[in-house]
Amino acid sequence: MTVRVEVVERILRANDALAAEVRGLLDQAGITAINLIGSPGSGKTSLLERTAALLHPRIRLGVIEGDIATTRDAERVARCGIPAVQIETRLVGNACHLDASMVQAALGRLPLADVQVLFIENVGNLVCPAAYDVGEHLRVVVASVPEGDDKVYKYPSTFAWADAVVLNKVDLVPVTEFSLETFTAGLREVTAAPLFAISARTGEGLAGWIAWIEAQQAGHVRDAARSVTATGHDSAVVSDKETG
Amino acid sequence: MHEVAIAQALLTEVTAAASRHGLKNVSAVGICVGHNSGVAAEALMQAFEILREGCAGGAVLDLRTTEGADLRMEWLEGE
Repeated sequence: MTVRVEVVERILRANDALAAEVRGLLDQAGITAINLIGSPGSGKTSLLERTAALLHPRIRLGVIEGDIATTRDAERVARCGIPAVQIETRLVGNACHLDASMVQAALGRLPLADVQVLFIENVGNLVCPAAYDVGEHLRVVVASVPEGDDKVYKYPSTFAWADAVVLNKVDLVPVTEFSLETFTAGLREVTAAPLFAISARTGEGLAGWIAWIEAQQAGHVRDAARSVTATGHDSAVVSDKETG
Repeated sequence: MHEVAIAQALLTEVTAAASRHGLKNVSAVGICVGHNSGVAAEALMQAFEILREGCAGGAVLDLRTTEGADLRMEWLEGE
């Protein structure tokens, strides 16, 4: 006899559970993890190179690079003197996004004791990565001027989840039809997250971005310390990360 | 374009839930997919049709959409 049973469960339950584990591990290691999401060519790796030059080793960085193929990005970042590991998703089904299990495996290849802020550069894609919690504490979306000022209108949910948004290549504004006003108006319809208008090429606008990372890192360490004091032991910090 | 991965995750959840409820054959799976979930419902249906196996080998998806970011399994039908 056919029966119907209620089985309400998030489809990505297994990934979310693993992501929570990853976050616990990072909390214990005192690492603040930032998931960097953006289109191919938006300048995610260039942003990391600039960030490394300005912040490392005052705050020690580490990077997990996600791409379909090649270790080029990890090599670029490693040349800045920061530990970097590459996930090539062509080896795991050509995935168009990183998931928590890939990040968990990559963590084993990083010197975690030497890292304070971990950037997880997702596969270049503005749709698929947004669905996957990879164990990060913060999500940053990188957009760039040549992509157009209507980007947020086209991908509202990706931007809505961002803790901060970086608009790269602002040095190109004079040679395009891009309106910063239009971009900002679109962004404000979905989120109040801070917007950093920068150029990874010229270096303009980076001070605010760097200060934001420093503040987030200090805040995370403070929250972790408070949580340890409150519970009286150094168990994994319970993250307040919204998992949906 | 990540619908295959989502369909695989769904199949895993369906199989586990069917086993918990003692269903040997699942004929239908109710799912909820939000407009803001980043998942294309049609691609998810096709991917599931290709991947379905085991106790869910004959299962069809009964899809309900919402305006939000929902992405969940809601019910199973079977025997």
